[in-house]
Amino acid sequence: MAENKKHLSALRLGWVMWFVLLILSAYIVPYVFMGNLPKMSGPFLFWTLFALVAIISTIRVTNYWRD
Amino acid sequence: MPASWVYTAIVIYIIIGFAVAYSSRGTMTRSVSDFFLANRTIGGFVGALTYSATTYSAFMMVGLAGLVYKGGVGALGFELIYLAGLVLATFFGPRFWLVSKKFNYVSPNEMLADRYDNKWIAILFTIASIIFLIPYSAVQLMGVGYLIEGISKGAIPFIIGVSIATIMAVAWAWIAGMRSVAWTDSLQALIMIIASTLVLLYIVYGAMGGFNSFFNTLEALNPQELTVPGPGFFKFSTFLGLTIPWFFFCISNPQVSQRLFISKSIKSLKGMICGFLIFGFIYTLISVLWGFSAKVIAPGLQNADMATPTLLGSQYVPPVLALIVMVGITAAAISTLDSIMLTLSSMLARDFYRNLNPSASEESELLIGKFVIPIIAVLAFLFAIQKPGLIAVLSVASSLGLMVVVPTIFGAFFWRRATAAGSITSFLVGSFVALYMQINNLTIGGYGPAIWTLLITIIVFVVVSLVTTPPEEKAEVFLGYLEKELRHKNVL
Repeated sequence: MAENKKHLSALRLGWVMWFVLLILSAYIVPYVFMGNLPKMSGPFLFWTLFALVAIISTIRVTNYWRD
Repeated sequence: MPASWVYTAIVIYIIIGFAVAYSSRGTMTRSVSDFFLANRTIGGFVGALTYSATTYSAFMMVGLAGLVYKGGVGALGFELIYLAGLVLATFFGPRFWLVSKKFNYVSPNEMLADRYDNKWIAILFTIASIIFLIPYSAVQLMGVGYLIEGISKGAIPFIIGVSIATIMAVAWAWIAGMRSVAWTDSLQALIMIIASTLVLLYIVYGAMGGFNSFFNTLEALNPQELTVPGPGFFKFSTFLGLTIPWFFFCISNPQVSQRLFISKSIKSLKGMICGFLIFGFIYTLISVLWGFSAKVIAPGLQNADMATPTLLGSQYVPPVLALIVMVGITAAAISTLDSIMLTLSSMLARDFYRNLNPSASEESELLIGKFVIPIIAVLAFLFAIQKPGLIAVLSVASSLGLMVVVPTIFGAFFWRRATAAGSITSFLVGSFVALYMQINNLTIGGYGPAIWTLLITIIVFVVVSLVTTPPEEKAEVFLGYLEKELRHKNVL
């Protein structure tokens, strides 16, 4: 039981850190690195990919759940 | 477009909606939990659609498209960061669902009041929800009124459109409570996504020669729109100020967080969250591309909010398709509106009436809940027909004002030391800061109220909690149960 608790806590910490980095990238990358990229492959593509990664990550976390 | 066409489209939509609402009654019982939460029996697919229809209002195809028209690609970042805020639901969703089922909570405020062992949390948060969500509801009504007036070229007056939307929302919330709201929401979510997809494809392929040509034209004619800060609207401080309150939307807005109570199982909850993410991603891209297409086809509009009505009235959109889109936008507004009404009525019945009359019977609580639905509707209606300027300020402030409950929600689930005094003080101080800065248009260090409200609310919550006594027994019952269940269900 204690092992399971430790494992879940470590997993939670890992995923929280991943989500924090992901969200921060949505602010930093378009504003800092894409100021001179006036194309559909600029912020438009970045934010679209960011959302896809966030969705896939969220689905992955919900896959741990069991009834 | 002839008014008779518009009326015909609305009547068809109403008939189908009523048929769905009535057929949803099924095995309905006369309990509070059944009326407000469908007895926690909603499956993943309907859950995802009702969550989507409640969250996405007329703002998407009108307001967001206008924001793209005005500020360019930054609007996409704003809306997708909001969508990414659903990562919070992976941590809070199962926790909300488990405790609501165990302790029979009906409203999110009731849950917080019980966790902190203080009924004033529920009463105060309910008052705040009414103050912020009634103007937000009125904006939905105004959206329908303006849209129907515009598409009929004034033949159907503003007040008729507002009246139709008000009556529909009340009826669909009243017929079977959450059951009729969830099922009509599902119908409306499908109408929203089908109508918007059809019109976007028609205009991209019919007027612009396909997506490749559309994107090339956009890059050639409006390169500034594809960067941030772009034309200037989306300065970093503006972007941050808009995204912070909306990132927390899924836990701070009660009409959405109450949806986390209604699933019949963890599997259904997972279906709701994942289904909504896919719906939201598609609907956001459609709304943003629709805004960009308006920029290409109808440049130079003085009022960006007129982008959608202008495009719908243009030669590029056939009248029948414009009618379908009008019904889609009306559906988006009504599905948000009836959910807000139902949630506010559950809060008034449970958090207000029941807290002030602890010996009240379940029948009287249900009666009060049903009685206040039309009252809330009339208040929103009266706000809407005034068309005041303040309504826009309150509507924008709604997500900001509701954000002040975020530290209280985090504390409830992740900090045993959190106290009711910390919650109430941070709520009052945060609300004052948010409203004062918003109404006076104040910035500090170049940043608006969102970042300062969040920081001050967190600091006050932590400091006051540390110097006051936590409800240890309640925390033990609440969090002790959760820890055991979360381990059992393998929830992070």
